[in-house]
Amino acid sequence: MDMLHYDFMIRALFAGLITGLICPALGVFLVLRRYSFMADTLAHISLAGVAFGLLIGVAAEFSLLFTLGVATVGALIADYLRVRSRLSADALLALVMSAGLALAVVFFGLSRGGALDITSYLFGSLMTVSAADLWLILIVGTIVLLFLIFMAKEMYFICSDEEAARVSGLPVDLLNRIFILLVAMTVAVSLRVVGTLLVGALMVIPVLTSLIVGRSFRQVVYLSLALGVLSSLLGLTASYQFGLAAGGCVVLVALAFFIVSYGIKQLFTLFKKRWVVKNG
Amino acid sequence: MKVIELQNIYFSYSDRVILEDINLAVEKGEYLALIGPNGSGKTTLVKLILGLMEPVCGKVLVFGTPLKQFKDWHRLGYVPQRAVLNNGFPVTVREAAAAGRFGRIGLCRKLKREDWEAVEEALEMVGLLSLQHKPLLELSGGQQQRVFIARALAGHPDILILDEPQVGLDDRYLYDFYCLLKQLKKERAITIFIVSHDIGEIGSWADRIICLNKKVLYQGTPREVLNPAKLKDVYGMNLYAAN
Ligand SMILES: Nc1ncnc2c1ncn2[C@@H]1O[C@H](COP(=O)(O)OP(=O)(O)O)[C@@H](O)[C@H]1O
Ligand SMILES: [Mg+2]
Repeated sequence: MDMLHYDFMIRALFAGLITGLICPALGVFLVLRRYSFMADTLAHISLAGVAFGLLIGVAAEFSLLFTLGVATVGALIADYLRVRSRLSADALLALVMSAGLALAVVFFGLSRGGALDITSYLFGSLMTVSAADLWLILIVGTIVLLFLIFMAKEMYFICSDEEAARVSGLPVDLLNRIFILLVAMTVAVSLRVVGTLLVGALMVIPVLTSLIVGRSFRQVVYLSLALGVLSSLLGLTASYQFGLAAGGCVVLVALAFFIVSYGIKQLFTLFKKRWVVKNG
Repeated sequence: MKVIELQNIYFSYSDRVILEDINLAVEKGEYLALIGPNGSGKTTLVKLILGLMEPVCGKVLVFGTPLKQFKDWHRLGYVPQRAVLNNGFPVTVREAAAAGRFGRIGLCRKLKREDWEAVEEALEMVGLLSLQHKPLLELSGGQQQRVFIARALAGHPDILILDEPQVGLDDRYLYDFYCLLKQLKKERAITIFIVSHDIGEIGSWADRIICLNKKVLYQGTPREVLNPAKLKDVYGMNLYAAN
């Protein structure tokens, strides 16, 4: 446990703990609405925000806040287009995602000296979480958790049956908008640890694993949270031990959970079928 | 008293008029059936009443209040046509039906004991209490339909709006289902507004029938409306109907 002697590592683990919790917590609702790509799209917009911040020389202690701002604006634009344009959801997300990535690459190029930084933003890093960042992550985490504690039942209804939710009088459009903003904020602060290319995976994979195992909505939610935190902490530890990119390790751990659950479930179903046929 | 009132409603998708000059009212405590062929605009009409779509012109009043100002949504219970949850949604029967309470208890509040009791009572009414902890996806289509009926009942609505709820129900349960609606009307004074294509059965249960095909063609008691000449007019062919 000598990794706990380093301040940067403690900060990274703490940040990992929070992102491991809030990413799948929001991811549950994204996956169930078949909106998984939203997270990736917002991640690419955030990356453009990071690059733009480097370009115009935003001070390091404000860079995460700046990214968060850009992600929020990006989310609002994407949501506006979703409602207004006649594009299908996946086409729209693909469009916005490529726009974000293209802008990011160009901004990084213009700002020079970014060559080193860009990999840590793409794949995550243990070293990049500053004390100021940690505060921001903590604040975003608190907001997201409060929202979910108070609004989980409403979000559950909207995701399962949006029309019925409207008829029951829920402010569906408002809640959808708040939700997208929270996803944007979560993605922006998670970039530090897991990186742009993999933050979507942390939102989605623990949920997919839980869907294999869980038999009720409640079980799926709690299991997703547990798997998210576990993947995050184990992955960051592995990243430290083997000197590998943080995001990659976290997501590989999450994937391992998925594959194991999937395998066990398949075997289990097979045996159960045989058993039923034999014994009636 | 009129619980729902439509005045001069017109509705069209970009190039086609779907509903034309609709005027109708649902009286408190009545059992009203809306019938008409496929594509006659029944579902559209229901969605206009529920505020899910906006009429091109005309007015919708619910409990005497224009739809825009209406707030007491928990007084309406709604069973959508071919109700399904978004693909593969992992819920138990109990969780799915519990959503019917949300409008009544309001934002940010948790379900309390009496809410779960209402949910269980509703599941009992549709005969699914014993399956309440099963995943919804393990139920048959007809059983799932009954869960959505229970969801609407769990909120203790004053009006129950059902859009072709008979689809997928088997004959044996169908009879129980009609009895349940009758009982709700009688014992709890719930107003029933049911969209139906099953003109044979519905005639012996409903108080009043409205025939729709783009316009309101006929309305009146089953005896008045369900005669061969009028039905031929609505459906454009000869149909045999009971009564
Ligand atoms: N989204 C839509 N865009 C265009 N036309 C539609 C749409 N939805 C329904 N329609 C048309 O509106 C008409 C009425 O539909 P509907 O109200 O569902 O009929 P019903 O419920 O009586 O079978 C149908 O002819 C249908 O083709
Ligand atoms: Mg219909």
